Amino acid sequence: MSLKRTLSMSSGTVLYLGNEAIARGALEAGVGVAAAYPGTPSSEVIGSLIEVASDIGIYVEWSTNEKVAFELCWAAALSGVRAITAMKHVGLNVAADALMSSAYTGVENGFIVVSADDPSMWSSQNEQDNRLYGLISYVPVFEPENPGEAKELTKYLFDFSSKIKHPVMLRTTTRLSHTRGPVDLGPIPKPKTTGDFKPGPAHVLVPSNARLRRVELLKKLEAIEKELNAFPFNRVYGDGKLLVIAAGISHAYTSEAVSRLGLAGRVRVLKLVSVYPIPEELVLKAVEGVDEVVVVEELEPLIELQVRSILHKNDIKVRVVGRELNERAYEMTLERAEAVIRRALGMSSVSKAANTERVQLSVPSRPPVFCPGCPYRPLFFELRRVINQEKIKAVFAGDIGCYSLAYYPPYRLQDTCVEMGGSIGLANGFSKVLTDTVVVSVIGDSTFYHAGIPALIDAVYYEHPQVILVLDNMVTAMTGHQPSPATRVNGRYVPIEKLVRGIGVEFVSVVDPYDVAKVRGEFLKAIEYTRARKKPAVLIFRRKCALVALDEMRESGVEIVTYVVDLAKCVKCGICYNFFACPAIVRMDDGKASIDAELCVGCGACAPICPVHAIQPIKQVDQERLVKYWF
Amino acid sequence: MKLTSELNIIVTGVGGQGQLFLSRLIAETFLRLGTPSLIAETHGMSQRGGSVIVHVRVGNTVKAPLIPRGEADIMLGLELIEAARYVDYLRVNGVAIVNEKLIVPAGQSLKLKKEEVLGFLSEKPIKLILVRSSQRAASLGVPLSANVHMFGALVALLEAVGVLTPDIDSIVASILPKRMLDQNLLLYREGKGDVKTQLGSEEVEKIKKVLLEKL
Repeated sequence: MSLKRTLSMSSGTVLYLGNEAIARGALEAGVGVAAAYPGTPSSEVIGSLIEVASDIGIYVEWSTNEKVAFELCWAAALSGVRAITAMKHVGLNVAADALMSSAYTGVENGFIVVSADDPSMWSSQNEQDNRLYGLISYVPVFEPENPGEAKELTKYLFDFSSKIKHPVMLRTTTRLSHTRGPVDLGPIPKPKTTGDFKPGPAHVLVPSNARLRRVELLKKLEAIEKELNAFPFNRVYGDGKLLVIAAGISHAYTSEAVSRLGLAGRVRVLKLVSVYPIPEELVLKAVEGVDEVVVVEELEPLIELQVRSILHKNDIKVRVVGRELNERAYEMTLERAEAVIRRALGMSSVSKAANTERVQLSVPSRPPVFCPGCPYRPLFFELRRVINQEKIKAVFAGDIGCYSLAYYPPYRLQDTCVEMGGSIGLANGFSKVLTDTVVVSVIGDSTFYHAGIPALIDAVYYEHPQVILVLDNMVTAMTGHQPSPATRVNGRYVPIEKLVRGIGVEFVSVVDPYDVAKVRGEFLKAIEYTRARKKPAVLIFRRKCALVALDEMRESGVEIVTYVVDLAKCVKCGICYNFFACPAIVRMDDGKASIDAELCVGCGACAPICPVHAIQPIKQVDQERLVKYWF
Repeated sequence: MKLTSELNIIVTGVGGQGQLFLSRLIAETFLRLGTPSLIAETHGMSQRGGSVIVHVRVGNTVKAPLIPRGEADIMLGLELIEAARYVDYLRVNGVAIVNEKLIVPAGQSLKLKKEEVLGFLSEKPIKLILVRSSQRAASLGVPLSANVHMFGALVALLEAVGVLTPDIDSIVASILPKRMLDQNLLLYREGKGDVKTQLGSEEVEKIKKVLLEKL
């Protein structure tokens, strides 16, 4: 049940993803503006709002990056219109500049910044606990534990934020954002979508104003902390000599662990939703009469540090355990929550019968792969081939997107993959110090607009010789096909070739990645150019994401003609299944190739890479007729 | 319905086989019967043809999204290698319903044979039920609906042990997608039939005992 399908409901219980629940909460609070740059696990917050934007009459956009999205929403909230932005943890690094200043300006109406963190790094480059941003930005942080609470909390926080005239952070993790659970619906009011902006010194952070705001901000945070003593989502339940403190998803695990250990009612639990700042009076009340405090916490010991500091300040000598028992890396689990509480109580562990003992099987790993039809497959296949055949010494500075998968065999064409835009930026540096190496950067269209352009300007202005491969599949693919500025909307888009020429790149070539001969030729030409001229060259590999193209074909009723291997012609060279490596092409026992008709999408990209032309469509197909779906 | 505690189901397969949809079918069915669920989904990078595991936890006492290893009651394996990878999530004597489909990880020369995986699974202290969901779905011209066949298989199991009653079919009909509804309903019924014929009454009693130890 998507947000869109349940839009007309104003009561009842539906199953929502945590992110959909946040979106619903925003609608029920009368949100008027929403914007984000997509990033797992945050994308469905704005993704579900954008689907209903025209039904409700609110403004929602996929912005160029998180900072741009943040600023758009911030301006709305400064003008009295409720706004929400959502980003993955590292997205907030991009928007951090804005976040810091937003605490100084405050807001006129509710402004929620959703930070979706990714413990265990299911889809991220690092593990980062964004609750810590609360500490340095002075923006209070809140954490719900399930989709139902996420919806209620979002709604409440809009009121709270407008009351304190301050932005708030709603922090989720993968296991909340991507957990589906029951949500009770409420009515959606008519949103306020226009406002008015009242100029004042609070909005102009020149030093003379900022100094005054800084003092105000400190006072404001103190007032917020006091206000949070009555925050209705925090609660204390159960009683005993042990106080267990947990917040967010960790509380979900903790409450189950307490039951499973037979401790329900026999320990006191402080469930926190406001995780920064933690209200002092609430903690003091919760520790009354207990002998020990255990904090069950995922990632950094933020709650523990605050609790310790509150107890220390009030001269309360109760033992606090946390860091010594909580593992700091990776996500919370029921086993972990149980172990922390057990060890705090000195309970022995119960070993359960396991089904693991008897037999072993070495199961092959299955890293994610380029989809059948992906334009990046023939591209990386050919780049790997030309690099091997021409014995090119190269370093590939990669970036964040589907093409990160080129790190894996058989392509192995990502020597670095660090952060958004990091490809061209690192390549600038490599080009200065690796003088006998061809420096290549690989960046997708969405990532290029997001953070690649400043580094490219640097490359042009300071003449850093690198070959920049912009992989333009005209969408933000990895996160679920949100539009990028390369996505054609009624013919409107921001053409990458014009942009890079405008910056001053002289060598610019647009290539179809399915055309492997041209891929090879243009790549070699670009290398030659950077060597001879000591300047950057840009190759734009343009073809739509296969999932988008295939969807459009299906919708238009285009017949998908799959391909087949002519076994009489196949010479068992293995190029197709070993080096091209499409999931649809499998090696048969005799070494010949076979195409799995269930997985083949009829793209035909494998046909030209077969040296003996053994790969053919099962019937005549006019690929020319299909070209329009791919561009 | 006799679900008084919780039911933990692991859904595994290769990204693109429809694990999320299958999980939602389970949760939606129970929700219509008044029992909430939590589904911990896999999104993002791992969806691209990678290994996928979804945790479905049904029951009023469920608070946390992830099933601890060795505590799943049922595993629905849409693909053999992935079923083998995550079989340790099942508790002793738990039930694995596994689709007899092996998808070779792309770009790897795989020496592992289907028979080896089946041998491995059948030697586990679990109840293994094999179904041909992919084959059946393909033969009806809806290859992406193997998950609906698997859902039928699960429903048959839950009916046999008394967690679900046969009146569930009308609910299922109302939550299946309208596109290709006839084929999907047929697959659902076939999946049910497949498992029904595979379960003798003695076996049902045995599974019942295992599942109801805590249900």
